[in-house]
Parts: sequence; structure tokens; C-alpha cells
Amino acid sequence: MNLRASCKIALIALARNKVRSFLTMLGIIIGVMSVVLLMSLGAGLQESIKQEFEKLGTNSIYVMPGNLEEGFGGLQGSQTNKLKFSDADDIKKNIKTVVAVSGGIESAVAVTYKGETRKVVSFYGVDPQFTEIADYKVQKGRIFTKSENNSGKRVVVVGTTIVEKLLKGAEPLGKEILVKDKKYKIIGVLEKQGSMLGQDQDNSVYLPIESARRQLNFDRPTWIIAKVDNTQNITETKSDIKKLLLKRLSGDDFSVLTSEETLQVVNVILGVVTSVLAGIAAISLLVGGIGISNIMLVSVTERTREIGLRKAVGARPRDILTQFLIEAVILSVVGGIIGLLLASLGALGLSFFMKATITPIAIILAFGFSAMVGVIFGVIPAIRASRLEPIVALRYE
Amino acid sequence: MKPIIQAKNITKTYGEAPSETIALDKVSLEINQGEFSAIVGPSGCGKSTLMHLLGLLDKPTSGEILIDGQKAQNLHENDLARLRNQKVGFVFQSFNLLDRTSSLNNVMLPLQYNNLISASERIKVAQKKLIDVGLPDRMGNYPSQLSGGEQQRVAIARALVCDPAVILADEPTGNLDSKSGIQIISLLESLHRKGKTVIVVTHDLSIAKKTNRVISMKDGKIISDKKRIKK
Repeated sequence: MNLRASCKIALIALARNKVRSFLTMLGIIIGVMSVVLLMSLGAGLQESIKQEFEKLGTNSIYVMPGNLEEGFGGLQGSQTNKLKFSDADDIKKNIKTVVAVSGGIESAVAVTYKGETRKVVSFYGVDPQFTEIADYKVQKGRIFTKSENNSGKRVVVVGTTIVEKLLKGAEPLGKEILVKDKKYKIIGVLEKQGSMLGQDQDNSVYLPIESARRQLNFDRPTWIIAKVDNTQNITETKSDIKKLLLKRLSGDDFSVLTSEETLQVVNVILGVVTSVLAGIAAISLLVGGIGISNIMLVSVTERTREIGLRKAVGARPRDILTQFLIEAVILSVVGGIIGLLLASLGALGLSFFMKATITPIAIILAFGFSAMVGVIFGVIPAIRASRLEPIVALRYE
Repeated sequence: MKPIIQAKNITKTYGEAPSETIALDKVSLEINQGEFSAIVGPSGCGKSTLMHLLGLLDKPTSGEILIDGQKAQNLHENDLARLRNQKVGFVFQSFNLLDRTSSLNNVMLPLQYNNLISASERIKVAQKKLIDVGLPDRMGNYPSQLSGGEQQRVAIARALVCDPAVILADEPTGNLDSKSGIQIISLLESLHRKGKTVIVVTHDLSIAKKTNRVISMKDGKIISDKKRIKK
């Protein structure tokens, strides 16, 4: 018997029990949907982080508090940040291949306008040279200049959420807002960036780093970025910076990473998280497969006489095996396709909140997995059917 | 005359010794081409078991069966399937049609497993057989839409569709009213007249009378085997 005829028989058999077939498929649908959706979220997250890094350029070296190179120690390290702003100055002074250095501050502050306060606003103290590297675009006004930074001028660049929510849409340029109870004049508004991981990226204020240091009592940098003259010198510069900082700090107090390494660290962490989540979701696929196996066993029992008859008129064991296996595979693959479609819809819906990318790997995995589930879980009932003795099957009531 | 089926000293037992049940006890039988035979006897005499063995649906505990000269002994399951497909046509007491499947598709079922007849010819062959059994206008009907007699005629068309060497009918009228039963028997008679070898298992002596050979069984043994020239 050829494959087309087998598929036709399987489809007819499945169509006879529409509700049952659908419920059986549901297990696979949910399984494939959750696996694909989680993988697409992981991939989307990786992509957006990669884009963030690309904004910063590839010839940058980062110094961060804590030891990030050995496991996750950095998370504790950040609580006891031992970096100083003077480290940035030392790097600039002592290492020739470094053309520019800046500390950066990342924190959360309260911002007030006309008596109204937003309690949690992302705060960035940055060097204007590095905002150029970071490729931020202004929607309105401008970014503070080098001289404004050096002189610690009381100016601020804000995100669109601040304009919308705090200023209630009023013309922002020239207005004065209170950052940590100190007055700053708005000179620019950044273009809308949207949200990442549910966090509003536009609920933020950017101050010249010098202003932040002098006026707002930030005494330690959250990071130090060093810009290297040439990409070729990155490795050498990295070890120079390390040597320099080791004079003052111990190896566990800081990490020196190139953009690429930082991206790798993030990718490794995200990869692990994604795989763990997808693995958990795959359990539902397993349960779906058991459902298929179960329903196929029921089907074989119900159709024992049919199997006997088919054998009596000349079906080989292989023909019966194929017939039932194809049924199981159709159930799981159709379930897989529906799951994939739902996952695409889900990813589309999620894309309003965060980036979700359905990768070809996710699609291949979804198909491969569901077909595999069909074969693995369909094979036991199918073998059972194929081994039935024709006379025993025919006598079955 | 050429023997179509030969059974040599076949025994069939169920269960384990010493408490085994002997269904067939060293039975030997030869069915020749073109014969219309009846296997008769009380229930439990082993006539159905014998028929299942002759039709290769079951395997004898010992002894040898040949169909159309081919030994069925030690054949692989696939070869047995091929022999059942090409050499034997079964007609069952309870019809055994696939429900929610049209008459035509029921008749085509054995052809799905037969690669001697091309896919394009299958419908034509099946249609021809349904016309032969007198159901030209029932091809699209499901078994549930047919009377018992019509269902059995579909089953006979199915048994004929691969042009087998022998038709084995197990109590073909057992589930039918007497009028339909007579029609089915005359259909089998007409097959015999066209040269088919037909074996009917029955406990109905009025059917046995229509055949030209009556094999009587009791307690797993053949107690008489009468051939006669029909008037």
C-alpha cells in the first residue's frame, strides 16, 4: 500500500473522532506553543541586547565592579562596588591606546516637577563623548556638550515618558525639574526607545557625569568605559587596564570585558535561562505525546476487528504498522503546526511589550519534536496492532 | 483434477498439555479446483477452525497446508498476507464490512494490499464485482444503509475482487433471514458454475444439499466425505 493511500485512511479515521482527535492534539499544541514562544522570547531578548551593545561600538572596553569572569560572583560584587572615578582618570593617563575614558552612573532617583514627584526614574550619569558612541538620537533640543560636562552645568536630557507623564506634555525645553531635589534645566528629549523586559526605557533622565558626581554625591561609577584607538589593540589594552587596576584592587573587585565578551556573558546567561524554560515547556510536549500514545491504544482496541479484517484480506504487519503510525504522526504534526501558528500569533502579541523572534531553529525544533513525539509515542500502539493475529482480531467482540 | 487446497494431517490444539483442547485431530483433506463443498457438523466440531486454517488466518499446531501448490508452512507473515490476498476470498457470518465506508471502498479494500492490479484499474475492477453480485446502484452506500443480504453481497464482491483461487464462506447465511439466505446461496452457486472453487462452512443441511461435496465433521475429525454429481 502506498503512502498516499495510508495518509488518506489515517485522515478518515481521525475525522471520525473529531473531538477526540482535537483533544489529543491539544497536548501537542500547548507543548509546541510554549516551547516555541519561550525560545522566541529568549531569541528576541538576545537580539535586543545585541543591538544595545552594537550602539556602544566594538572598540570599547568595560570595567565593571565584581568578578564577572568567574561565574556569577559579579552579582555580589556590585553590592560592594570598589571602583572609583579616579580609576577612569588613571586609565586615561597611563594607557596610551585608550583615547577616551568615562565612568558612568546608573541608578534610580526621584524626579519632581511643579510639586509632583515620580519616585522611580532611571538615572544615567554619562559623558557626552560616550553618548555619541552610544548613538542616542534626540527628538528635540540637544545633548549636553563636553564643556557643559566639564564645568558640571545643571542641565538634563530626559526620556519621552518624563515629558508625557511629569510635564503633562508641556513644552519641555527650558523647563526646570528637580533631580534628587536639585534643579536641572531640560535641554533635550531623547527619541522614544520603547520598553525592554517590561521596563520603560523612556522613563529616564541623563545628566552630565561631572554634574552627577559633584552635585548629587555619586562617588562610585557603575561602570567605566574606555574607548580604544584601534580594534586591533583591544586585547592588549584590556590586559593593560587589568594590570593597572590590580595595583589598587584585588582581582575579585572588578572585571574588564570587551564588548564582545560582555555580549558573550549575557548570551550565555540568556541561553541557559532560555534552555531551562524551553526544557520545562518540553515536559508538556512529553505529556502530549503520552496522550497520543494513550488514544492510539484505545483506537487499536476499538478497531481490533478492522485490523483482523485487513489482515484477512492481505494486509502485511508493515501495512498495519504504517497505518497507525501515520495516524499518530498526523495528530502530532498537525498539532505542531497549530502550536506554531499560535506561537507566532503570541509572539506578535508580545511584540507590543518586548521583542520576540521566531527563529528558524525554533520552527525546525517544533516540527522535529512533534513528528518525533508522534513516532515515538505512536510506535507502541502501532506495533501492538501489527502483531495481532488475524483470527484473534476477527473473533474480538 | 488439480487440488487447490491440501491439508495434510493437520492438528490444532488450544492451551497447554495436559489440559489442552483438541480442535482438530489429524485432519487430511484435498479440495479440487471448481468444487463446491460444504463442511458441516454440530457447533464445536472444528469446522470453523478448519476453515480458518485452510484460509491461512490461523496456523496449525502440526501438519501441513498447501494452497495452489504453495506450502504455507514456515512462511513469513508477509508471504502469508500475500497468499491470503491473492489466493483466498473470505465471506464471514457477520459480513465484517468497514462501517462508514462505501460499498465500493469496502470492495476495494483487498486491492489496497495488492500490487498486481494498478491503482487506476482498482475502481473499475471493484465496480465490476459489485455489478456481478447485483448491486450496481448501491456502490456509494454505507453498510448501515444496506440490508443484511445486500451487505453480504458486498462482502462476496470483496472476496472476489482479487480473483482468488478459492472462496471460503463461514456460515454466510447465519445472520440473514431465509429469503436473503437463499439469494446468497444461489449467488455462491452461480460462482461455482462460473468455475470458482467454493467452500461453505454451515450447520444448515439445506445449504449442504446444494453443494456437490459434503464433508461432515465431529469432535475435530472428518467422519464422512461424500462427493456427488449434482443433477
